[in-house]
Amino acid sequence: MDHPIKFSGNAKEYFVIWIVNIFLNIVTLGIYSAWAKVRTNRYFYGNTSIDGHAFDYHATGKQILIGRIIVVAALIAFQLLTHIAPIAGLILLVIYLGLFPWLIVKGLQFSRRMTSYRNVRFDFKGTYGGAFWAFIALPFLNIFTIYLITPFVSRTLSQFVANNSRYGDRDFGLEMPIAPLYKIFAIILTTVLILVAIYGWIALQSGLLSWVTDGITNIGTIVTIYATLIPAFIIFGLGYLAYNVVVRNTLYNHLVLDNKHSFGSTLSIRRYAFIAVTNAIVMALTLGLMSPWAKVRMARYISSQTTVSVNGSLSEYASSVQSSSGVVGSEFMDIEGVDVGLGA
Amino acid sequence: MSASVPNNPDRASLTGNFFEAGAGKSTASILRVAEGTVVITNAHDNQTIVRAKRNEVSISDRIGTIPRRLTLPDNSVFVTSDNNGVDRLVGTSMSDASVNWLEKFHPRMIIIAVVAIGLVLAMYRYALPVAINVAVAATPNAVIKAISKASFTGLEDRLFKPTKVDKERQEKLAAAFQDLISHSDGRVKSLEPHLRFHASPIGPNAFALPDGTIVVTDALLKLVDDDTVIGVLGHELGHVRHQHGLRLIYRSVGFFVMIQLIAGDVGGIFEDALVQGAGILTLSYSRNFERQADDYSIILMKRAGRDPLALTNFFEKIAQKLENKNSIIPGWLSTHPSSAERVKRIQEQAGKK
Repeated sequence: MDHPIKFSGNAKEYFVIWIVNIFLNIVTLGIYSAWAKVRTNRYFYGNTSIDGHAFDYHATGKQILIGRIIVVAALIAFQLLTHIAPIAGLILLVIYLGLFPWLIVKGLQFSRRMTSYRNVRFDFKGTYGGAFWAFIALPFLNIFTIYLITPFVSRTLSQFVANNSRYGDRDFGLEMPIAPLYKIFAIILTTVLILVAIYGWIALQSGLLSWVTDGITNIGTIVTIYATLIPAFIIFGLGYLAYNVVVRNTLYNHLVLDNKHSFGSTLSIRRYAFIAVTNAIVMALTLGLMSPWAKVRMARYISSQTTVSVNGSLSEYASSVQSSSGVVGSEFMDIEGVDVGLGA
Repeated sequence: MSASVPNNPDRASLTGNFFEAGAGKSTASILRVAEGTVVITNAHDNQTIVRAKRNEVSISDRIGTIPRRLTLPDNSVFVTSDNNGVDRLVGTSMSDASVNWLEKFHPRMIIIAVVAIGLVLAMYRYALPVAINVAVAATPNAVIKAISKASFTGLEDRLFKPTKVDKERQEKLAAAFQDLISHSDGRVKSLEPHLRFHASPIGPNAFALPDGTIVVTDALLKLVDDDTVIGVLGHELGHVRHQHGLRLIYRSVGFFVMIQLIAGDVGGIFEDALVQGAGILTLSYSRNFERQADDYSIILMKRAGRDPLALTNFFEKIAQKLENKNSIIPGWLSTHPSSAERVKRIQEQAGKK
């Protein structure tokens, strides 16, 4: 049976939570931001429901604050060490880089374990090696292929995250096809190249690009550079957005839980881009004051286009799922790690 | 939580869903509180499922109208969307109550919003500059050198070709440069600045990297005499003295951190727009940098016993050169103050000191 994902938050309610968060963040010099994050996540998770049951977020402000203090302390240690003994600072930097995949795994584990649906926690069991390959090695190799293997990078990353995710004692699975990703990638690449060529020609004709050939004559350099770069920025921004929409749709349309339940995502590039762009414009015009409205609007659209197809009765299935052992008990040992911001 | 939760007829009980510890099976149930004891019963057969002391039950904070989670000592959970009922029957924690008081949609909201906006502006205006000063002071020379090297090597191959200026003039200017450095202060000396000449398509220009590398183009040497070039070198050393390059980097980082901290994840495009918008604000900032660097040129030239007005000659020449290219760029959008304005200011400043 198909179950839509329902989002019931509203802008008025979230605005108040948001502005109070800002107020308390400033008054406490940013310390409150850890608690603010918890309240924001709980608001969005608690308003997202399937079949009448909402998601829940369990992290405490203290856990998140400890994670942040560790990060800040590590940065200060690096600062001081490069000041006193540059070689030791360099060694520390190498150690930090080595820790990065571990932090990514920790971060994914934390965000999964702090999320529950029907009292059952999610979990993540990815390894250091997997994270190293998906988040560091492959994106690095991508540079040397002039980004032509980007779809493979997206697929590896999605599969690493999905295949290591669990709902209670049940595994998620993802076998993502590469064709849809290459199709959109080729379309975007061609469009961007054509637009850049047209735009470059116009810019060259109208003298907007004169700073490249005639030299920078000090006055107004930045203005002309911006006039050249802003349209380019918009073109690439929209391409990036369209690509991400297709990646998400492909991911959800091939994601399975427990080998029998499936998911669906029907985001439209046009609609998504329209919401993203109008959100950005409205936020810019209101100096960010409308950002709660924008965030709620986007969350509502995304959930309205996402479904869960349960083979049989969702209620019966959920009743059979147990939290995997050790998840809840270990939460006091968990730190936040790096939040890579991948929703699932 | 469930969409079909009926309204409570008696106000003395809550309807919701009960879950065993860690289990996904939900049971429609009713919670009652009597004499400090919480009792949960099955909604269908009225059998008692669990009971616990009120003070052993932990309640999740009230946020908007999301469901409340009551966790019992055995880690079983009762979930209800009856937020008011929870507050009335089971109570709420002090800290939660005070945040909720702030979060009520009420006219005082306007005051909180105004104060929050005021605080953000104050942070941007006063706290950010202090943080940048601290960051600049804490940055070791080694890091400054690394940043400069990395940013220049990117440009070097494409924009800077070997100079065609004769050796003699180069040496004369290099000697004057060392003389200016010997009169400088701050961290200029410890950075050991050095002078480079390059033929470049960027026109008559000079710029300083944060590590004290100063690049002068052949076109500039062609345009003005040596005394003026030395005045320009004083100006560039001013950028090094005040670490303007590093300041710009820290400013954009600080601005980014500020946005992250305050607004949380504001989301892709808007975040980029904000950071780009900060670029425009940076322009006024960089006009101040130019004035600061002009002032430092005057100071160094005076200390070295040279003409403090030498720099004005450069602006006059530049103004002449640009006269036929009428500029359409308004002042607020410019990185540099206008040449006439700067000449006037330098004359005033030089007279004062």
